[in-house]
Amino acid sequence: MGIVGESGSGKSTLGFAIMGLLPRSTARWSGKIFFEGEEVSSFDERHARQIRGRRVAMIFQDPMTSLNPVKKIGDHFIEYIRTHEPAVSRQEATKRTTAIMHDLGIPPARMADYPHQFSGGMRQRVMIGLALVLNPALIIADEPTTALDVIVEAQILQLLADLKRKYNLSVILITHNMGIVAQMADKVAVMYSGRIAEIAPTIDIFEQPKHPYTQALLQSIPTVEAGRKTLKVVPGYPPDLTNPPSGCPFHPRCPYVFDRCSVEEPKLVATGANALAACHLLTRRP
Amino acid sequence: MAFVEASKLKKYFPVQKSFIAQLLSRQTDYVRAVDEIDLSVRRGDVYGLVGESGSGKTTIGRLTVALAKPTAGRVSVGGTDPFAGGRMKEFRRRVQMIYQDPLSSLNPKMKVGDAIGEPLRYLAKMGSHKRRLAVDKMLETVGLSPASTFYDRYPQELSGGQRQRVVIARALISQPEYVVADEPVAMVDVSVRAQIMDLLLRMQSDLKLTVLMITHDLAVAKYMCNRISVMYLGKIAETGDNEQLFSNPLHPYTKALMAAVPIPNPRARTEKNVPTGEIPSALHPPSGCRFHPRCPYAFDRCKAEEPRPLEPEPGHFVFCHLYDR
Repeated sequence: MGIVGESGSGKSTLGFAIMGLLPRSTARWSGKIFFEGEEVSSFDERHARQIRGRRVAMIFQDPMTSLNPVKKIGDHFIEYIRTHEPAVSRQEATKRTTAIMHDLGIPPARMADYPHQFSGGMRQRVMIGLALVLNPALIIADEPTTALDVIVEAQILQLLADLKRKYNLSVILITHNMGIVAQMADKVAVMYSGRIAEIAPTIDIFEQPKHPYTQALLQSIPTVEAGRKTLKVVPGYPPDLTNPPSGCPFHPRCPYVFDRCSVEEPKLVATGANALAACHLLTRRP
Repeated sequence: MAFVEASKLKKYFPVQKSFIAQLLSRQTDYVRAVDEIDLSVRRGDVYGLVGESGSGKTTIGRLTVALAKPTAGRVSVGGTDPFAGGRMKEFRRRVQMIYQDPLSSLNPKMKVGDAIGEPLRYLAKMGSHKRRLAVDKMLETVGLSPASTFYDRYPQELSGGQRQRVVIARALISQPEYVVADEPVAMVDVSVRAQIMDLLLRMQSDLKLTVLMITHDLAVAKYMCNRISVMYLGKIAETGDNEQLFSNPLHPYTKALMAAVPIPNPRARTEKNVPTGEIPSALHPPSGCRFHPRCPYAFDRCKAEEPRPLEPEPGHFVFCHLYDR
């Protein structure tokens, strides 16, 4: 599952919400989140901890800020395993770490190194390993390759795809890069201004986008594929979320806007098998 | 003759060592950010420098606008060598730079209108009334219209895309001949990128600018540049016209870069042949061809001998022993 959107579209916040990581005291939220049939959004902190890490794990954009600079790589794993599963011995945890190092393509000898001795790509491999080591069912990867160069990005995406297959994982991949979702995702949700504009199988999103924002986005991105096409510019800028536009948040930039768009917020309606979009054009009577 | 020219250009940065290490050894280590590069940009070119982080592309950009002094070699813009004694002031009037992050390159306490007018104040010694008129005109030109509603705003009151327009306006108001744009769209939202790229291209043709476009994004280079050099670890790997480079990439590194870009087409999913490893340190770059430890086609000569520029088709240069057998 891919979630695409620009900065400020709410895609990371959605990831945090699923992880139960939104601050309980300062964030105001409503709605429900179900995971494996259970409503996890109503869990208290203790209960949530049993799921977080063990059943759902997250990979962040910047591995350097997520790793402790004065702790050896191997100790990150061992501590993480034993915090969640106190019954596991240190030896057993080391054994599991060695096994995961093999999956990640990191020589086990490097477990004794510190994070700063690792390159950016290697650190991101470590983050993937930490997310995987407790055998979760779902991984939420929030811009996992944004800080990386393009060749290393391709290596990491390849690794993620291989491990997904090997461990039969579900992955939510949060990114602003349409190329990455096209290559990786089965289904894509396009977010704009804190809302889902459209959600559909990847092929449909790219070949028959229903929401004007999705259409505009696809026509405005340059590609390296054959032919130097002219880009269609999307006018305007993404909205300020402290003061979002009325009605449909995309209406100030939409080429098909009509009177209803600025008044009424569109709801998601079915546009095909497994496909939904939130746009008044879809329910407009001729 | 080329408008922007660099020959045997080198920039080494000394590595800071601790006091004790300095006492123990006299030898200083250098990061070889740019290592003997020749570059020639024609007047009116939008010339792309493409490469990953640490390839030296930004350093080259800074050297060509005299923001860094070469360790060796020389640069000239329009025939002027900024380091050849007493010509720096004249040189500064002719060149400008656009940076990646518009928020950190604007003073948060300065109205954007005043910020745009600064170059006129210092480079053209223009009075405040004339400056105001010029800034208003420039604001309209870069699409911040009506100018009166933008002049008195502060950078943080604008969106990312609007801020980048301000930065472009400030760079172009003094009518430079040569502009270095260092990743001008990397921090701009995806849906706003095309606007900024089109603005740059329009300004380039209206003002007949010569632009050095620094980017890590091949798709951006393809959309904007007519000629492109691909860099790797302080060296140029390949140079060619846009069409040559994208339809017929020659260097194994260029090919790898192109294969690694995720294509926004779900039907074009391919198992990729991505090179292993990452860019080595520029402190001790590999011998011979710098890409040889990661190159799938490397043979003995690659390790021993640095490749010379070869020209397999007119105007298309590649630094690779594969084309010299």
